[in-house]
Amino acid sequence: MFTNIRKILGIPVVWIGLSAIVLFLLFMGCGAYPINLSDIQNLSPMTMTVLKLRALRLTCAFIVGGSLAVAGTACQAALRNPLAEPYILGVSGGGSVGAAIAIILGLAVVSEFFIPAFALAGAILALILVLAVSRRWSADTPAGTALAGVVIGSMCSSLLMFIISMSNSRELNSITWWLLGSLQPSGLALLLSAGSSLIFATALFTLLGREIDAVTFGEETAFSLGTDPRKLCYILLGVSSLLAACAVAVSGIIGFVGLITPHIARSLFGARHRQLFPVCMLLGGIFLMICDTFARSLFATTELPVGVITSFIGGPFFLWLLGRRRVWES
Amino acid sequence: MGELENNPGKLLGVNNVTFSYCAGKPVIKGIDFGLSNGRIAAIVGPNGVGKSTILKIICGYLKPTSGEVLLNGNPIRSYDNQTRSGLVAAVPQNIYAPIPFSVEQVVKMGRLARLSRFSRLSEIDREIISRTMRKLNIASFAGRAVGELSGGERQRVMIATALAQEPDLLLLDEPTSHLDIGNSARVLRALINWQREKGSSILIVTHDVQMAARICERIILLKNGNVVGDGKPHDVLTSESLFQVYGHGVSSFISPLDGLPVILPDPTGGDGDYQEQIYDDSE
Repeated sequence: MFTNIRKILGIPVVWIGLSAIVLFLLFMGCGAYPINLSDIQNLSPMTMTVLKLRALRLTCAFIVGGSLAVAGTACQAALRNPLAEPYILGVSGGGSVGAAIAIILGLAVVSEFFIPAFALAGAILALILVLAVSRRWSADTPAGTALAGVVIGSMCSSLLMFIISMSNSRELNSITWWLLGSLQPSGLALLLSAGSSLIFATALFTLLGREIDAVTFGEETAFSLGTDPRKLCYILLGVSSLLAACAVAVSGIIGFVGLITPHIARSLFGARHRQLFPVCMLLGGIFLMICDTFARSLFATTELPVGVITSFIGGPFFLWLLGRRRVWES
Repeated sequence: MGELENNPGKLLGVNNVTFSYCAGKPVIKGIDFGLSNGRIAAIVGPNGVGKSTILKIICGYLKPTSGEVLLNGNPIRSYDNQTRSGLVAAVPQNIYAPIPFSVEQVVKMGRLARLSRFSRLSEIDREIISRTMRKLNIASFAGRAVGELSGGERQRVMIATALAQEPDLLLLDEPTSHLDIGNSARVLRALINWQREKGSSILIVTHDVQMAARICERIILLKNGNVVGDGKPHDVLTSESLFQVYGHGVSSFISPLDGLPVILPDPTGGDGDYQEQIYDDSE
């Protein structure tokens, strides 16, 4: 009996999952209005409302963080590039332009699913553009692809600025609100669909884990090992664009979560993708929950955008990765 | 074509294969050869004559522009992925390993196609993996990440992975290019032993004529996408054919010790005109 429990706890996914739940409950109490969760019986209706909002917000942070981390892991494997992630590849930027277009066309009012749909189209377009540019100029080394991604990403953000400056005050209002990237979800339906695509993607990638391991050694080797590397790469990039688009539609652009998480997960639990994907989903979710709790409570009464915190941690991490020689080898 | 290689039960048949990366500029211009079970053969030739391309076509990764590659009598591209990977394994020349898998994890990938999606490695699989790692002298660093290894160490790991696949046909692209002479000898011996034990065939692509002459019973000499010689090393690697392929400056003689040809670069040229040789190369 006890050996069984010990065996189950020995699986990283299990205890990371348990700690995610513990942290979730813990963070419910944190914020501008601290709540003592020990006397759960006699909470005022006002406190209950705050708790509900916080639970929604933490769920949202978990889903967005998990999506970005899984998308980053998939990009790194498919492109065989330790610097790849939706934000650096410009995929998030493309997604945000798509979402902004949906907003100024007034489609967002018709149905909130127009935002993720347009975000997905923008994300895939940006990805195709980045890969085409880096192949065309034969710069498809890891750093070359990252560079192309940064260029396309900044073009996307200037396009976004253009859209904002051209839009009227009412649209401007909604774009700005969405851009600020709050993790407080506006609607449940969008959050639910983002959550189910995260679960679907993680399950799919975990099942394909062994083949994905082979893909990281290049097309020829992966082919020789008995996989179909082209098909796998299309699946990896397509599904991770979907995840990035959902994350952008829910919360705007949040950078570097997809970069940091896979590297930390690999150094802690090894590189095998069968385990890496579920671990990354959980760790990414936990990471963004932590960042968001800081964003809510660091300067209580005012709130920081969570992207500020992730970039503050992620930027130096990216530079450290870039400094390692292995990244440049190809 | 060798006399034994034409029987219908042959392992590999390359029939009139041509290939071009861009239309109108063929790299391979109609190549024919076959290979039976239990052979070691080498495709040799100067740099850039399409040696690696042939290997990629034979393993099914590239589709030939015309002609066909048969494996056990069936077109290579008609096999499904799993069956194919049990029949033929290819080790490309340069491996870039950005994700820090350990050496042991990489060698285990050789068994990938033999596992169903939910099964684990069997005792037999583990035995094959540990034996292969010992033979290629990589067991001592089984826990290290492949990305941190030197080129030669990584090359041995990738060869071990291919051996763990237990294919009927093993394709190697410059298998000793990153190896020092000691490890080179060790790897070649391991390959020969494995080939004898399993009765599989090995096809090596290399510019190292000397190594090919030493370990292969058959040499296929390539020039400009055409086969210009095919047969036993001492028949193919004569001074005349080497002159035809490499121009001046390569000479060959039969070693009195073992009867195998010895090929040496001779910068002064066979007939002494160094300038003319440079001129020939630039053509």
